[in-house]
Amino acid sequence: MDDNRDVREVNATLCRLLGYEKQGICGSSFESLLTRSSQVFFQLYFLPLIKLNRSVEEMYLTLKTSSGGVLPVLLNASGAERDGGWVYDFILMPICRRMDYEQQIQQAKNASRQAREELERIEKLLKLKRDELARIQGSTPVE
Amino acid sequence: MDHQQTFVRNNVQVTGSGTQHLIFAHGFGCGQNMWRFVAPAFEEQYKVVLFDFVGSGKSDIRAYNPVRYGNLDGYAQDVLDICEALETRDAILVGHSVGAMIGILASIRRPEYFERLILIGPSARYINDLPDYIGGFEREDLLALLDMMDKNDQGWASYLAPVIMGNPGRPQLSAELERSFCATDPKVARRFAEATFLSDYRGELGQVKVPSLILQCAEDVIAPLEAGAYITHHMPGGEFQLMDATGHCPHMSHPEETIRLIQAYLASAGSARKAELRR
Repeated sequence: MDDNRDVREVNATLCRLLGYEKQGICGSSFESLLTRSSQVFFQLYFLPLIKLNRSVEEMYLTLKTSSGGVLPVLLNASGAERDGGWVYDFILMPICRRMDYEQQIQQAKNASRQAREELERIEKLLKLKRDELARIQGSTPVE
Repeated sequence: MDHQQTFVRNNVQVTGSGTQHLIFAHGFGCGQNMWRFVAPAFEEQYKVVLFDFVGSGKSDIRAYNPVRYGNLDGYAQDVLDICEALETRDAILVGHSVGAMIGILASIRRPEYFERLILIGPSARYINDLPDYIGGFEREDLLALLDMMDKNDQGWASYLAPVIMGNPGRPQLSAELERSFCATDPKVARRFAEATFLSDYRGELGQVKVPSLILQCAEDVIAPLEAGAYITHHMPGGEFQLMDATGHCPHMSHPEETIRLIQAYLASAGSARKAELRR
């Protein structure tokens, strides 16, 4: 990517993942490949960070594919001065499986929270019943 | 809170000569470090004031109060506290993005503190309210943004954590320092994002009494042309200037143009003021 945020060069793997031809990506702005929320995140965090630090590591972003799908990636980038201008090298790591895994963790967490809440509810009910039983036993004369 | 406490809380840095204060209010993301390409150009003529909002940059995180900073009024109070600590009565405030909106709110509460405002990429509301208002976003877009912040806050995508690494061609120490300047507490940033992007301050614009310049970038995906135009039309004394700069951070991407437009505005405002005094 150059200083105007345009893509200069892209490899065949990313073209395949996104479902675009190479000439469709080269020359267009990198932001145009991003989902709306990632465009904002890119403006808010990526651009200031790369200006201040000249590198960005492991930033989570989502790209749009030609079929309307979403490709989650981790982005590493570093800037270098070449031919009198700044050029930024990007390495994108697709993390579809990672995201599935994260989702499973999240689902498992939610299930465990629900189970815990259910357990608490049952324990409360049990205590109520025990108290009730104790009251009944206490008021009934023991023979 | 005494003046010294305010200076520490907001990491206030005053440089330059001159009598009038030029206060730079940063936007969402980093802290005062974002002004580093622009602020030095004004040190000859003004007392340049840089600061970090509580929870950003090198502010005192212990001063963070989720209730106070749950909406932009708490941040506006930070600005007013700084004005009081500086004992300024004719400050020029340059605000970027949400920092611009915070400046507007501060000027409504205490107009006597400010001579004028310079607003870079402001938006009074980010969510569309069709057919009368285009903010640029649907609510779902912004919820997706908050989700994106959460995902980036997880261990495996730790862009905010300070990582010690060599930076080719630069001394390692300065690289680390820069990184930490940009550090933001993710929980605080999340809440700041909610206070920023889900807010609606359109109703307040009519109460502004301080003249202002609105600097609008071309192709800004965060504060679109319509949002800047809306502010200009609904704020008394607002002057609109479209920039050649694209994106949302012209003070970082196009510092020369940003400096030139601010200087030109201040020069014309200064000569208008002198002409008025002569009359």
